[in-house]
Amino acid sequence: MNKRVWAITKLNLKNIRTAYFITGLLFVMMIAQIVVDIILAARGHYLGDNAGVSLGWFLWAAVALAAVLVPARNFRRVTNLGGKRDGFRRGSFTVYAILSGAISLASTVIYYALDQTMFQSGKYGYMLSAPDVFGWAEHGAAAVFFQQFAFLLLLAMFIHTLTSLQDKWYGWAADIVLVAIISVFPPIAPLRSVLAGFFWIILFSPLPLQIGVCLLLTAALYALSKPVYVRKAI
Amino acid sequence: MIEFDNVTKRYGGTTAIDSIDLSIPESGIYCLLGRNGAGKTTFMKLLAGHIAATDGVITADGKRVSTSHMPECVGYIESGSAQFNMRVSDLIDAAAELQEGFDHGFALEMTTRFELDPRKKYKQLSFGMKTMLTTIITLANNTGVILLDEPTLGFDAIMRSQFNTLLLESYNAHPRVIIVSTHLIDEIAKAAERLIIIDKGRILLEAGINDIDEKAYTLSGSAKAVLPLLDGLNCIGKTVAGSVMAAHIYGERITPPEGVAADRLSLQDFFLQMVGGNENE
Repeated sequence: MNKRVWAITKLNLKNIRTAYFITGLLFVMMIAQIVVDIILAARGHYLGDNAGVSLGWFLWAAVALAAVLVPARNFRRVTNLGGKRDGFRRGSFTVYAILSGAISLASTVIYYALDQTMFQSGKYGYMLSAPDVFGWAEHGAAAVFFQQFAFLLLLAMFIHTLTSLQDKWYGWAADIVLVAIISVFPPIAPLRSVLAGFFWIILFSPLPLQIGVCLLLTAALYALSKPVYVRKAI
Repeated sequence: MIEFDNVTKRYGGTTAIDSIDLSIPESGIYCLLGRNGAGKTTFMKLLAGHIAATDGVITADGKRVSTSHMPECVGYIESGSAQFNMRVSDLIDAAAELQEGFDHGFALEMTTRFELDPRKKYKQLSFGMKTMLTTIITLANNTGVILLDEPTLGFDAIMRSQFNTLLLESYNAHPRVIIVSTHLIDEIAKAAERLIIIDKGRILLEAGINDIDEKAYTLSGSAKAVLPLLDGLNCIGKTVAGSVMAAHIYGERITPPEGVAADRLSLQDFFLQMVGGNENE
């Protein structure tokens, strides 16, 4: 990797403390909940009917928040140190790849080491986790990691590109289109099925299709971010 | 080295840069002078590829400058720009990683000389020290063109004097085009070789400082004696108090007749006459 792109990656990773803080806070709060459950179970309380939310979900916040903070706060600061537009774009993508990989790995470990272990013990009830909800766990740990990675990378690139557009009129237009899709599509059956079909492909579809489509859309968004950054004033 | 060919920049209905033609063919320290809102920062941003020109072509080192091709040979950081809240030493390290040919040793030497604590975080620095850090980071870049936007903003008199010395040291170590935008004309004149005056988005003058020193002068005496001398001279401004007149000239020197004095016009006054109200009659 280009030395300057790696320098931008490091700068971005160091300067998204708000994302780390909020994710850490959520994580600690959920760990506290689990600790309470463990204490209650140890004291003989039956929690088998409970349904909890997996810790892994909360880690996703780091990717989403980073994808807002990097373009919104860091772009000008990177260029003010001598970074160039294209280097920033590439460095940002590397940040999302690293974060998506790290969080997918952590989330996979949490799924197998905590969610599954706790559920199988029969004392704690069901833990609602992404690999179970989206069916990623059917193909083993590697699939859980890669399917989650592909989705998180797509999510990050989508948020990054949308945030990068916000200083231009077409960014606002994109917001309006999104709001329109969210509010208009669900009540109309044919449009609802289009929306459902899209989410089925990027989340629930068979492994090669899900990963392939997510990476393809990520690549498309990455390519789209080029003209966005060319037009972005510093 | 730098060419502006009929360059215009408009922000909506406001013209910030108006059909500029400018050529800077060789290394040197250039002073960019202009009133607030004259177009100095826009000029620098255009040259650095931070913003796109509405019309015209800018080339630096033979390559066309655009927002898609930010020139590698131009180093520019806007004054008062936002920086990461990192330690001074970490910011310098980061700049060294991001900029090709960054003179790390020079940057560290400057931080020592200006008593910038490398352990302090950016937000802990005073306004002047923040400006100094930005100036150091820009100046340590050894590319062909360096743009310094208000590099002494918030400096005290001693720091400004030290800055001029360091500017010269930096230039002597790495001769290149250094364009300094400032309001402190007479101070930068100690270091700068050429002067570019910009007003209302147009280049009013591009000349050597020595040339201006030689050609800019004031004829003062009674209005009756001074007025006839102005025929054929480039009078850039007049001040009249009662029957006494001071006419500011930029051009060929004349030997004044008895009763009329010819005095040197300071750069500050020269600038004021060029961009300010021309007449005070």
